[in-house]
Amino acid sequence: MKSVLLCLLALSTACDGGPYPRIGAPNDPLGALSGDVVTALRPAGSDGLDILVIGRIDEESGEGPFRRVTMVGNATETVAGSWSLSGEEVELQLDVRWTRPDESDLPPTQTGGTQVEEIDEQSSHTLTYESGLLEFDGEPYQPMPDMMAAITPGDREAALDAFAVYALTLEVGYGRVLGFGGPGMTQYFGNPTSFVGLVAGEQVVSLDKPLSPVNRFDYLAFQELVGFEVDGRQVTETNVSGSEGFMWGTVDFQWMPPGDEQVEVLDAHGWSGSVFYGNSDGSDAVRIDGGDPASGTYGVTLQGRTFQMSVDELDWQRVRDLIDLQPSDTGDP
Amino acid sequence: MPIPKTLLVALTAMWLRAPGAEAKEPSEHALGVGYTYDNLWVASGPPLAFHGLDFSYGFEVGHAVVALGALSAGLPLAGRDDGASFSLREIYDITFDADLWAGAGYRWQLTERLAVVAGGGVHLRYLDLNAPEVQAIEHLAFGVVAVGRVSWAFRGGWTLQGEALLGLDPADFVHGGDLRVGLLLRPSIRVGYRFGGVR
Repeated sequence: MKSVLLCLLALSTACDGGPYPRIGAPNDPLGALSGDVVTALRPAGSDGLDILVIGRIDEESGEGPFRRVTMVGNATETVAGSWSLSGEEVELQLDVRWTRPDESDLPPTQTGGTQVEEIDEQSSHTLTYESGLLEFDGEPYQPMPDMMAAITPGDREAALDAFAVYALTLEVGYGRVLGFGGPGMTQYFGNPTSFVGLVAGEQVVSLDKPLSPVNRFDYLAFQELVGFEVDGRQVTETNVSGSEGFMWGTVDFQWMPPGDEQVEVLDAHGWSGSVFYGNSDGSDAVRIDGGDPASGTYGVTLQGRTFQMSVDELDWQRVRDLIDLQPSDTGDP
Repeated sequence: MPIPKTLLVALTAMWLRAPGAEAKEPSEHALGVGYTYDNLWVASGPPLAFHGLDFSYGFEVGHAVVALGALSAGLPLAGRDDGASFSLREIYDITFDADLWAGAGYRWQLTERLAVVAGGGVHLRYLDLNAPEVQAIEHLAFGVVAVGRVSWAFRGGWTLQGEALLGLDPADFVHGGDLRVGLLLRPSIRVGYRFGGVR
């Protein structure tokens, strides 16, 4: 209903809320993964990131899950499907595509937000995984554990890096929340909706109070990047146009190298922390102005040490600097 | 800009009017049900069609040249998409539509009891289909309607009213880039009362 009000406010032109959904089209066509999963990343272009999520091939079906996220600036494209071996090559079957366009220059009523479409695309590729690097079509990608090894908790720089991986997780997740960034978010008014993680868990999106919107993101063991899990609630309260308001809530995160999920291993190889956005009464909160976080600080805790990070420091693109695409000496397959 | 006092006085006089004059202006108000067929031709794929049941209030004011309109709200019950039929109530938790149109027409009093009205106007239509597991379909369309009404005074001021509405909605405030045109068909039947006597 609020999208209706928002669009009526525009008066002059119709809203471009993207295409009509088909009747009964699922909100989240992504299925949950099981078994071994590899997440590997590489920088793309001057400010982008290319992320592969590849699951082990099932012996019965001969297929494994395949997901790919391409981020360029504020735009995100996510595809999901399956992969199989065909001789020396890998055959991809893509079934779903989510598109979150870069609409940062558009007025709110002209934005479409994240959209999803069913696709049926087949293609052949090369895929190798050796010497600590995964190569897809000849391009090197760094697996998550090797990239995360660059983060050694203890100082502010490490907290900033962990903060960037956390921000990347949320950003990748927004890329599949239908309507995110546009009037279509009003479909969650009184209608909490769950979206499964690329790897595991889920995020639940809900919206209350149409005239002073309260937008909640509940993260439940949510993993977009294998081994990096977020848990908690982040709430944004704004005025009706979404231009001014504040954020509150606390979201925990932890890094567990895949295969090391036992709690006792966490101290040895993994780490944990949290991001504090502010209190529900608006105190110590990150303030929204012009639709974006504009002032205040995030309280980022990593392994028990808390650092105050300004809103400018929450930047997933910092992850690009963590990626080292040189083959490792160990040559671990 | 301040509103001139004379304009305020004139508007107030129009609003209040003389009691005698108001009594001479006949009006008809009716409540009833209708079947709604809504077909949306969209750029992104095959047309979407919806069938539903609506409850409506219709009005008509005037002698020969009449102001008329209707407000309706109801339940979309079935849908059709790319050749497949769907029971909307089984898919969506929220199934709701509303419709408002207003315009003008001409009334022919054929007999003492029977009158026919033809007219047209502007039209606003809202459709909301929503549930947590599926993508919400929201539609707020704007367009024009053509309307034909038959009114039969069966007892005193009581009337039985049949109405056929054809609407064309070329603009959608939610999916502006996708809607080519929406076609709305709604036959309704209502029971009403005519104030001011039958001409």
